[in-house]
Amino acid sequence: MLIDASETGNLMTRRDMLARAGCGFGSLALAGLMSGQDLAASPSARADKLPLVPKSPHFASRAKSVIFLFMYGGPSHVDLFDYKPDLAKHAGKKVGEVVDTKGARSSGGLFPSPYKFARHGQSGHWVSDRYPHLSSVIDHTAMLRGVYGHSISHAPALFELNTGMIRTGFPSLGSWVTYGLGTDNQDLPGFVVMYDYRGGPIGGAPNWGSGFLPGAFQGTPVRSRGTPILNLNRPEKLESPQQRELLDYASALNRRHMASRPADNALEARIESFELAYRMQSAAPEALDISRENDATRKLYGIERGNPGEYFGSQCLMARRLVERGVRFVQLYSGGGHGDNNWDAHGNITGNHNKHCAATDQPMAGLLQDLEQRGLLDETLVVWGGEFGRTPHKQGGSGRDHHPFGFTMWMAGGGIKGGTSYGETDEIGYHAAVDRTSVHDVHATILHLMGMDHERLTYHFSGRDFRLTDVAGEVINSIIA
Amino acid sequence: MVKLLIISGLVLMPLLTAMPDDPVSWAFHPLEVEEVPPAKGKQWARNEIDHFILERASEKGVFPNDSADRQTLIRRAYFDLTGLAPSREEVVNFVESKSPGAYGEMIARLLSSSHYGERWGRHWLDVARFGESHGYESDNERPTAWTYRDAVIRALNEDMPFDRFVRWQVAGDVLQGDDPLATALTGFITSGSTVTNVDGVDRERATYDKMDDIVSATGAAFLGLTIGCARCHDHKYDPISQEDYYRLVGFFLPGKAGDRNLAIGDSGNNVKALTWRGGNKRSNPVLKRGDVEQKGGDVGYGVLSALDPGGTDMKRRIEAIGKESSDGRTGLAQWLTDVDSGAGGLLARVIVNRLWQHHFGTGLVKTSNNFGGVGDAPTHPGLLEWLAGKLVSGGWRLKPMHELIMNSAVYRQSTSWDKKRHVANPGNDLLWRRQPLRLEAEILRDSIMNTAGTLNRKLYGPSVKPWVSSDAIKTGSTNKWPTNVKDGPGTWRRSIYVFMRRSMRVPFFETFDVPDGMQSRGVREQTTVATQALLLLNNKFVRDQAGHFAARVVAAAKNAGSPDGGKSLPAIVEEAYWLAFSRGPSKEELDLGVGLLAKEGQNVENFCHILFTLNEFVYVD
Repeated sequence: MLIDASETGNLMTRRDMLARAGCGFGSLALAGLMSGQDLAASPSARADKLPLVPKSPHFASRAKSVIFLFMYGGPSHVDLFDYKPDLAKHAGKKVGEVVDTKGARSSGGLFPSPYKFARHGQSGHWVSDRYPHLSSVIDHTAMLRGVYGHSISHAPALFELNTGMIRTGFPSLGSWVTYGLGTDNQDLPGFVVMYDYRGGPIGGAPNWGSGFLPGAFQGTPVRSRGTPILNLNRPEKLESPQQRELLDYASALNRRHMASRPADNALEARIESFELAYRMQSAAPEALDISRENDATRKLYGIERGNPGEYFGSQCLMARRLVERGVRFVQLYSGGGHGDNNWDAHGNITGNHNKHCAATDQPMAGLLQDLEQRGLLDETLVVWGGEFGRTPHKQGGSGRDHHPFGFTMWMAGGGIKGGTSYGETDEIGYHAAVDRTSVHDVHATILHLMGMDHERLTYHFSGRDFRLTDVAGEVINSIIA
Repeated sequence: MVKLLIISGLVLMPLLTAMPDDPVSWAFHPLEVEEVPPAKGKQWARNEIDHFILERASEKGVFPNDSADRQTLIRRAYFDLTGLAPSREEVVNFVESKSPGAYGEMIARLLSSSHYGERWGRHWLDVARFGESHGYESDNERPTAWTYRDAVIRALNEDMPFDRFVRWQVAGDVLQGDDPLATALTGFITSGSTVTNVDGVDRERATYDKMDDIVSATGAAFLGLTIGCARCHDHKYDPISQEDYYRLVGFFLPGKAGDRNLAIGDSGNNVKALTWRGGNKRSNPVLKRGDVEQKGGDVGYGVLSALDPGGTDMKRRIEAIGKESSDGRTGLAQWLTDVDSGAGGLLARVIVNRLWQHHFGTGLVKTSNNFGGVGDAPTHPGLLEWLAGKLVSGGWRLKPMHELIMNSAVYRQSTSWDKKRHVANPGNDLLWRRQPLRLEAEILRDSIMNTAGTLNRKLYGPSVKPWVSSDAIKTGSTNKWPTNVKDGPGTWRRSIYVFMRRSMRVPFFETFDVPDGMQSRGVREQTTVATQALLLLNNKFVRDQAGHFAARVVAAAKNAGSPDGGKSLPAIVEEAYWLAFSRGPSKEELDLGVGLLAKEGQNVENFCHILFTLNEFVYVD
């Protein structure tokens, strides 16, 4: 029997559509929505049977896994990668004197970056002095300096970068990727999320949720402090074969229970979660144990105790170990909780960014180098970005406000042509001006590198075929090797 | 809004016909109680609620199920109202009762149980962003904050009218200073997180962060509005101006959190209670763009203009309630509950929607903390209005509303599923079937102990800190949880009494989606991940409880006259099923259970343990 999506009530309402339309998303496939037909979509049926077994991509993939480095709170593009010398010329002027500022929320004077910029590597990518380590490996990266989003608030902007939609309830990028490709290691989750030790990002689990996709595709968060995954050891006096028997018994009863409730797909996801849990008991302790790495590697990531990168570096190293073992998608969050515990530098850009840059610089550079040394960089796509950038003008004492109209992301490894760039903002870094890049474009490109056509990766739900990229998205070919 | 109607040339009009005329502000309109529609399908309907359900069902031709059987109904009702399963005896008595009034009597009995306040109090604590520590880096504990939690449970148990419950949460200390419960309820204001260890201008920012916490929680909890959005600029989607926001700040800016000695315990002795201490009215500037360094004009205190149609003077509101407070909070209390010329209509809608949400799994307005422009429209607008009107006309008492809802046919229906109706209405917003509901983290933990026979049903009192794996505690330089706890009756309390430390949530709760108490939460996330399965399979607490469950089952089998002194396998399976699922096993289930127990290396503890993990244990039909 083909079940048309979940019963859990995450249906897109008319109001959702309006909200989305009002925020500039493209048209919807209304014909399907209004006809109410139950179209037999074969990927959906396949997903319900064996959700996480490896599946063939649409075409030869360039990358096998993704590591998404999410800078929560909004890293300032004009202080990190998008060098705007003209800001000095306009310092103190109102933004509106230089560019059209519709949508702006705060209006302090234009504020040149307090950081020094220089060109690095053969590519000559501009990078500020906050990233000395990353600068040394910057030729791996393709810079996207003309990305734009649709919300000035954290939660919707997070949802957009993670799911393509500013509303909650849609499947995340990691869910789409594991839905499309399964995962190569059946003993570990296909999609792992590690958030910051100071707390998760606002909006929480929907950022890695599976929306209307089957629950097996949601991200599995590992604990952000101390032991990453608790409860990996069986109770005393319960041996593995006996536990296996118990699980078989449970599975038999659960399937009987589910037979009369076929549309409650969380029930199925629960059965899957116990099977995965059983297998994780042997695989996860080893996979997440970074103490098995030698000193040179640990040093590369800068995780010696007391280093600013101690924490994020450990997570980057865990991420490498996970993708090495066939995990499909890993998302790391830098920054958590509230205020200056994340990149949300409203009051003081240097106070905030000095701290977060130091915490991420060596870990990110170490990750790229380590992946390269192990021959993994070619098959691992590393993505860097936050939910938005920050205003080129001042807020508070010496801070910057949220800024979705033009900001920077970068990608490296997995099929990326290092040293390239695509997109530009205007002279002060306000609007994405040249080769404007939507989040759908970014997602389309990521799926493409993973061997999937974003227009063909669909899931039938509530009478229509949904996509990660809705009805938009263009692959950015010029950054692909 | 007009331009929204056209998307890429496709006109959306056909989809809009079911929306209220003015989608942005329906929630801001005064209560307009509709007439109950005539019943279409009289035999099914049990009360007025069902008429509204049938009205929409017949528009679409998707009709709801008949009643579930009694065995299902009693388990549903017990979990719903108390969070604890019925005993075997209670199930048997109810199922065998020939009385047509047995169901209604059961509901009434459950509503008078003290466990009702524990169950529904927990729902309210999510909304009240309750926590027992400051949050943020140092996350200092608040050892006296539990008194608010107790006050909430007590208020619900005594069926305090909801309007009074609300008034006391914002101004109980002034309104009824001689009633300790009234003052303890002001713990609502203090419940949220607090930035500590800051100096200079950051101290002032921290003050305004605190104000934002209070104003945002007040808006979300009582009115389902995202007032916090107006901190830096006028609200984008709702008629809430930045000035409105700062007028609300004005009620709280003069006050601060402080302990008082209150006689709220059973003993009648005074205990230290964390409450709100108001202050004298002070200058209250609008902060341009939310910036403490850009102070604008003084706006005093006041309420949301859009819910103050007559522009009532705050002085008149304070007079109307008859208790003066310099910081104006009594006026705020009056406005929140004023149905005729204040926010009372919206307040009533928001709370009946919360009741509906917890009875059915989803609210009539799905976004129960957002009734504004980007929230969802109600699926049954007429029903929402009617229920709100019923609450108000019934003196704001919640227990009769529970009774009304639970006696409806739509509540009592079965979970039966069929493809035809599923295709017609996959999201079930027409309520054509009962959605099985997953137990929340707290109720799952309570159920494990209740099944094992270890649950300590003691009510009220200071919070407890149960055993937590040292792996989970040792995360930084200082331990935020004791490392030497040995579980026993003292910690086998209901989960609502477990200490809620923001930076160190008990892993059982953290893993099963308990919110972190950093902001008001109307709807919990419901994730299904392998780390939850690992917890149920391997966690020491769960395993220990399985041991107690096994001992209880063996003893019960023995008492039931099982041969071999309680070692008869069918008797063990039978007893375990009754304790875990409120029913006996079918023949096939009996065989499966006996088959497992008979395997070499298996034992009763293992068998009991695995029952805790089953979907039937975690989902209630």
